[in-house]
Amino acid sequence: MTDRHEHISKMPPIDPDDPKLYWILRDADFKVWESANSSQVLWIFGGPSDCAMPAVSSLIAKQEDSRRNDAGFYFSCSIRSSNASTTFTHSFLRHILNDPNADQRKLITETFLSTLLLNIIQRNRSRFEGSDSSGITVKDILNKNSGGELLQALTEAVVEIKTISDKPIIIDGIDKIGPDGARFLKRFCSHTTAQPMPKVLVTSSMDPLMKEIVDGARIEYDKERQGLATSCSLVSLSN
Amino acid sequence: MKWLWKHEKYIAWLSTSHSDLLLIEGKPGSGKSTITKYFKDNLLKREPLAKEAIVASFFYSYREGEAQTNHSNMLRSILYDVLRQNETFFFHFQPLYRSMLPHGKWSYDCLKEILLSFKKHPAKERLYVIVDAMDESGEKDRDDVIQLLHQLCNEGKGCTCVVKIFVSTRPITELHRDSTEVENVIKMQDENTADIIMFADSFLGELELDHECYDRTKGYIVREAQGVFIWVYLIEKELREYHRTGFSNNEIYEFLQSLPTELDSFYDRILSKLEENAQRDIAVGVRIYELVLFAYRPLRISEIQQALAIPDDINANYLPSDSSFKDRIIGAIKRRIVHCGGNFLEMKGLCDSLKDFVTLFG
Repeated sequence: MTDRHEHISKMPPIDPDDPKLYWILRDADFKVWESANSSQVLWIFGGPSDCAMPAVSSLIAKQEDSRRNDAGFYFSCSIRSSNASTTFTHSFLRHILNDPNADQRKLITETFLSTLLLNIIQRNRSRFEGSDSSGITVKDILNKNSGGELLQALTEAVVEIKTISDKPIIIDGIDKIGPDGARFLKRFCSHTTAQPMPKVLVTSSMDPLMKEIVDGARIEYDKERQGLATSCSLVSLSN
Repeated sequence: MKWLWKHEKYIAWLSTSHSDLLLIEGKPGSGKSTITKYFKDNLLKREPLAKEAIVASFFYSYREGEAQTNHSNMLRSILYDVLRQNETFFFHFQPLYRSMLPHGKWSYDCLKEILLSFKKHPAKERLYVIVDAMDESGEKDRDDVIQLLHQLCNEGKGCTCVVKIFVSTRPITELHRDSTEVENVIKMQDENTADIIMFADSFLGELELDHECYDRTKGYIVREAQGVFIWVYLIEKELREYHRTGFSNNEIYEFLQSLPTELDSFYDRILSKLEENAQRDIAVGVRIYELVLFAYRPLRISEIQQALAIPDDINANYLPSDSSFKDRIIGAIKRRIVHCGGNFLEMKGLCDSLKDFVTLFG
């Protein structure tokens, strides 16, 4: 995953009023997501070949930033990963550490590490050498522990800090991570819907595994229209 | 029918950049449906602006019953055409579509609401709505549907979608109220005269009339037709048949004057004549009409010929062998169709053979 600053600026500008984007930007589920402040997960997938999803998700990110007058979290997936939860947590923390608000940086780092301390260190005390510096210990925790534990610590930290839990999270092209992308998303969604968490928007191409395991609101390109157009409820009687 | 593309009312309707309604008005049998179908079939070829447009249509038909006279069905058809042709219109449907699930029943008001929302479609689109035989629609809510079509044409703030509505109908009061007076009206009787004169010339020449009677007969036909082409077609059949038995000019003209000038009376006359046939001929006539009216597609003359060779009575003592079937085939099938079916049936095609189709005239 790369962060927004490395990515969004490279995106070609697109027109939000382009009819090709109506299937997303004028969709009822998107409107609900757009107007929500938290705990909404929306998965958009299967766009046509001429619909540049990275550009679309960048546009949505910019619109959200503009609406809130503050930058949200934006992640663009580009390479396969067997541990998406860990990768995401690392990227997210890097986002936080780049935040100009020092108090916020400090607060979330402390909360995140405290949670890890409770959940991991106390359970596996023997793993850590008392002589190690705190820097080595933290690095060891971040690199060696399961993505699930890191993700849980991260989400708990995010919940604690209102200024972060209000920011939307946009993850573009999650299918590029590979099969673990779907598992990560399911795990992440289970955290975000259970408590006041950032609203999340995820884009991908058509991915059968994702369809199978991801719950929640989804916009699949043209599916609902096709269903309506072919259903007997709106059949043509034209001569 | 090429006159349509050059008609001043048509050009005025088409060339404006705003939404507008064109009304094609005429008596039954004056060719309204024919010109409407012609317009629909040739619109994309003839009009550059229509190439990128959405074309939605509905043909009301009293004969087809509820399915083709119901206003909700008209709206459903129009909306379906739009949705099928342009996916970007889906968001107009989505909230109402979801609200009616899982029962899936579109209410009339809901369909109207969606159609009206097209006016404010954010992208600049051009939509053609073609509605034929408005007079054959259900009377309940007809006024409301006409108001709806006018509302679609009303320019308002934020209207980017241009809706061109093409309606054909016999004169109905709902379209001639002060509030809904249509500016662009084409009256079929004003346009058909040249075609009727040409058609009248095509058969009057064969009746061996003198010059004075020819003009008098032609003048009478053109005057009484009032744009109703079907009436002239029926007159042609009657005059040809009458002429075959040999009559004077005056007698032909008097016979012409004795024929009904209204279509309904003409149809009654044809039916009365058929009733004068022998019982056997009447039974064959009924059979032919059953075949023509109930067939999914137009039947060929040869198909009717073969169908008539099969006994109507399922209890009949009939051995379905090749030889018994051949024995029952009517050789002069065309004459039989004309004799038993009368002038309601039309045999048309390109090859003037048994491959021609038999259809109900008009």
